[in-house]
Amino acid sequence: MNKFDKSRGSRTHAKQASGTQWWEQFFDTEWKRFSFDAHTPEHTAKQVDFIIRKLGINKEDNILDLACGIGRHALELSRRGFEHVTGQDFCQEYLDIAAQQANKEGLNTEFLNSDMRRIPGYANLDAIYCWHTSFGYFEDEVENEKVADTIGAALKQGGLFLLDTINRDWVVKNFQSQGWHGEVPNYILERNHFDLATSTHHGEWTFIAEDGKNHTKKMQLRQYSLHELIELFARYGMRFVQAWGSIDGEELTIDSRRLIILFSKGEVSSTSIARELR
Amino acid sequence: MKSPTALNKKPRAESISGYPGRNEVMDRGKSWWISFFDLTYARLDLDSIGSEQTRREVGFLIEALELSKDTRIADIGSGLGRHALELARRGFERITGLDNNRIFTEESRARAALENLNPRFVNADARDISFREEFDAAYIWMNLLGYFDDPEDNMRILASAARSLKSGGRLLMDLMNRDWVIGNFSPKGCKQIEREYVLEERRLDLQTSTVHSIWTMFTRTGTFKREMKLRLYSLHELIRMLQQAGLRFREAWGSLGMEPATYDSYHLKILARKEG
Repeated sequence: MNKFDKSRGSRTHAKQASGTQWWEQFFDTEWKRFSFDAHTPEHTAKQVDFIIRKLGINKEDNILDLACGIGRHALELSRRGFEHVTGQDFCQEYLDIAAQQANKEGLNTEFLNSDMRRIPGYANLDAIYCWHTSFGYFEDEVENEKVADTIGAALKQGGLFLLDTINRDWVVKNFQSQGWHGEVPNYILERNHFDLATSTHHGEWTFIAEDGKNHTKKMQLRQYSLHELIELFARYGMRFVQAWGSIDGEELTIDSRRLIILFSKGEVSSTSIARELR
Repeated sequence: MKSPTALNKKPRAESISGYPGRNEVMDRGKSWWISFFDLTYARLDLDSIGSEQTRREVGFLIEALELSKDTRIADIGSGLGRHALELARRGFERITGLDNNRIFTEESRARAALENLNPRFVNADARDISFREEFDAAYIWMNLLGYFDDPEDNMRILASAARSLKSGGRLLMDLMNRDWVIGNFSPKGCKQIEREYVLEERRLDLQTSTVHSIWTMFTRTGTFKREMKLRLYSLHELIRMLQQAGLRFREAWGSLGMEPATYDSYHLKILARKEG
């Protein structure tokens, strides 16, 4: 089995790009509370069931969780006996939380601080997944394509990539310029603008905290429809395998909120996937 | 209706069932549009557009493309010459209508002759227009860009249009807005033109962003079934394609009244300019 090639890799903190990208400010403890902590262990387990099934991964496979956050899925894979799981993220605060949890549970999950456009030293991976809308962060489309390029380069021939993101078609159909979510005592108020010329969602999110200290953060996300992702990843040697609209395996439609898409680098080699596709 | 043009004669079976005048370029691929765009289609679709609508569209073209009487204008995919003839009626003198369908260019010439109008109509494949640096302004009205199966062909249309323009020349495209289709998709549509009917069944293929339609036409001469496909584009995709063709995106409108395009605009009207 191929191992992660660690010889060239750096597990130290990646230098973040100078200048202020929205995502450098956005992901903090507060966002963690609103987003990650809202997922129950049961929900995470269901997502991991789906990831294992669709990637057809085995315990000894080399698996990368791209933009792993606090390692919800990576840790769950380790708990289930997957031996070579690495979680990548640029946010050290989140990686520390993930590493502490791994330590507490005696798990061997590895964590890598890097920019998702560069994951040095990773090659010949069996599978990569990127969960919960982490593709499209960059304003310049060339930078988003670098992520696809990185994924293609890190996978072995026949390796699989599973992406879970928001479905642009759903967004266009259900667009709300204002909204709020959360529950007592934490709320987020959203102001949204969708730039049609670049297919980018610009959000201004006001966090209303318990102590009454409100503040506003900005985010932006380039959003894609299925055919765009198929065309984009094809430019980096990734072949479209299948798409779903939910982790229940529903067919993707214009009414699917999620867009889950499976690619293979070249021909699919995993026998379990080949079996399922037949 | 005493005009001698083909469309007002009693329809002949051969003009409905097939396409008699295909040229070499069209034979390259047996695409759906080879048999789709015939006189039945022309009568039930193109000629069902009222002259008032055509006049409004032409008013928009004149304003958006800043046309003056001596502007060299190309109508790419001119069909029955709806716009070219209306421009000629208004005194625009240098109009070239380009279409790869001989039935349509012949019909356009016949209609021009009836009114003593001067536009020329040329048989040309939009992917491979032979004019170079010829036109000050060009327009592609009604979806031509989405007719081809291969996205490369649609890119070639833009590249070809760009080549035919002089430096600084303007291009206007009108096409269905993918975002409108997503928000308003209906698997069935129908249309009545006097005592003729067109029923349309549609299927959306998300992998290729293509609407597949089957048209059932209940006409004076019988019932015909036709298939057609339309590749759909959202604004950001078109802007990128224009850039690749060497054209600079200038503006996108959502209506003839020049409202800005939104995801609720039925058609996009996009203005671009040739760099240089």
